[in-house]
Amino acid sequence: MTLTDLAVLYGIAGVACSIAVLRKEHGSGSGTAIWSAIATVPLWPLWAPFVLATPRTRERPRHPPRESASAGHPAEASDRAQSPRSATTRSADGARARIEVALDESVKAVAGTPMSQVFSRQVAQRISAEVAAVAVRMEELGSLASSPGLDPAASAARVAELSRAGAPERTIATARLQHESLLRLEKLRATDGEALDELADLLEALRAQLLVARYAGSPSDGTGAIVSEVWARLEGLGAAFEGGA
Amino acid sequence: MTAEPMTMPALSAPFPGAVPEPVDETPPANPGRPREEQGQEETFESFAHGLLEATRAESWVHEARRLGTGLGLAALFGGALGLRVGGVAIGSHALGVAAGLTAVAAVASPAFAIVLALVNAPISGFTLARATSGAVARAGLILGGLAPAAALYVVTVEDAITVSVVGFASLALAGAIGVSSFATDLRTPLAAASRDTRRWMTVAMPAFVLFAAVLALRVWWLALPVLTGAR
Amino acid sequence: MKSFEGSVFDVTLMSRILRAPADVAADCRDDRDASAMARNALIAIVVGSLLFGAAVGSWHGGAQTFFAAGKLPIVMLATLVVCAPAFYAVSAVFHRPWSARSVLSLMLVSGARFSLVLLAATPPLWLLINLGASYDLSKLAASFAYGLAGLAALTLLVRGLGDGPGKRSMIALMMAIFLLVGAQTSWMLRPYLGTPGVQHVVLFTREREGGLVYQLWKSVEHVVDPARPGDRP
Repeated sequence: MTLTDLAVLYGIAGVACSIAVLRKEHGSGSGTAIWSAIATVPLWPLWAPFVLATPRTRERPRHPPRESASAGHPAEASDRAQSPRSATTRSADGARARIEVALDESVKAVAGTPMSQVFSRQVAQRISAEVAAVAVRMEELGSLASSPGLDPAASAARVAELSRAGAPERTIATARLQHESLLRLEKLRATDGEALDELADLLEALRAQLLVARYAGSPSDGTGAIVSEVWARLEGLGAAFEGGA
Repeated sequence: MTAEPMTMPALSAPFPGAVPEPVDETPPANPGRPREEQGQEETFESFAHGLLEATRAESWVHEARRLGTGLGLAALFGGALGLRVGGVAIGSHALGVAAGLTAVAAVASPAFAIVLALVNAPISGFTLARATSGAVARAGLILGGLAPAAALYVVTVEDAITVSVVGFASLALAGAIGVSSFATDLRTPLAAASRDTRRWMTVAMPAFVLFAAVLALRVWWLALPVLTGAR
Repeated sequence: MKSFEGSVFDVTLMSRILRAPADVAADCRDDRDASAMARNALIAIVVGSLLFGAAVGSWHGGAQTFFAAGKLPIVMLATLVVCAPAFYAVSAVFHRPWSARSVLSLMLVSGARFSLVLLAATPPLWLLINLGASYDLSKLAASFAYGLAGLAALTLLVRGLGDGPGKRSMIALMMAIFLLVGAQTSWMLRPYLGTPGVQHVVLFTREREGGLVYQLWKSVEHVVDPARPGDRP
């Protein structure tokens, strides 16, 4: 088979994708649909996924009721923002305390057993350090959210106001960018808090499993799976470990 | 954040009893566990995520699907190699690449199961099957991804040696990734094994890896004449 | 960051790609406005490589300018097309099983950053050629510009991949794949500068010339020692 044959096969696939694109974009305006279909013929591996695949929902706000409510009532949103921020900080402190206790008792439970190679004092200290780093980050994010000019509610109100007033598209786009950035900050803080709570739950479960293993004389089936889950959660919190076969 | 290298237990099936994760995107650098909303089936971030991630519950159907998909993707790479000759060679090379992985999964892995039983390793049949299908899935995904590049080289390069190097390097890469995945998946269960078992495994695992590599290479050598220059 | 409604090309996005690659990379991973980013990136890739190609072809002048201008975007896009499935697979295997849209948009904006740097290198390269640079010096200068552009694209890609296990291996593998595929596609569509000593212009050459690396090495030798006997007509 020659390059020409390959190009012909590629082109056939491109035409097929182009037809699919044309059908999918039928309602979006004839000009846009046609240009998109034309571009699909030579570039279907690069362009077709953007047209044919369903976008994931990451673009939508994680907590729609909070955002939509705050858009119209900045004062209420500010008050609401105060309580969740404080609640988040209390939650993080509570999670940290639970994690420290669970780590300490887990290390004691495996001392002198083969499982100490999987869950050593060094490992516990590493987990503790990562958790501390996350808590610091949450505190910083919390402080930022209370700073003037970084209130998502106010930014949402600003976008709505500019849209109502018919401001230039460039201005609205800038305000929207600001709002999205503040939402992302808020999301980061909430995500970290949830992750810490889940990690605390897991470590407490691991502690229980390890205690069972110590006094029953053999590890239970779920121990390895919990340890794996702990590491997976830590990766999600931003830890970077070099693993491998 | 970076850390000094340390042994990390393999990521295996998530904790069955854990509270379902809230509906939220996973952190960008590591989607990690599949998203699970209460009362619904597991959902995955992408096709690759669904192929590579193990389900929370044991599911032979899911593992068989992973194995089949991995072999199918590997066959794409074989088909790309066969483009150099065209015609029937496309199909025969597709089957040939898949045959190498099948030989490891169907011959080497069951033999390894016997070895695991002999050394009293705490690894169930399902765990071994899951590690095998995961390895084939990863190897197949890599080969499928490299198929277009392989097609480009085999069709445009005149030099047969270059084609052989590209082909075997791709197969070696896929094999290395598959083996790494296999060993990683078995690491956590083996960590809970007795000291004697772990000692035996320091010999058995490398021996299995060597056997699997030689077996796959032998099958590919016989089944892929485009890479060996045979006709 | 959404494109301006009704606009074909988002200059603000290009500015973000250059100034804030980490933010753009995060948007790619989160599939935020990926279609608009992909569209703009493709336009940037075509325009940047087209103008750079024209500058390269200006060494010979005439039809070679247009040939090179037409071929370089094809090289860029063909490389991305061939590498896209590999990038998707490599990222998935190294613990980043993102959607195809996320991986593709990350790859495309990296390509856009590559092309924007090429665009920045176009005027100096054109001036160098206009001042009478030799064939070998022009070739090396163009290769150097490609190298710089590659580094710029790599910084965005590295930020997009985030921290996690296997990052270095993944980056090395992606670089190797991109270099191998890019080298082969560019080699297939040569010449770009033209052939020294040959007046007529050819669209493609089919002579056996030893390969891309061999030719670059010969150019280095000729620039260092112009008196060295060459193997060109």
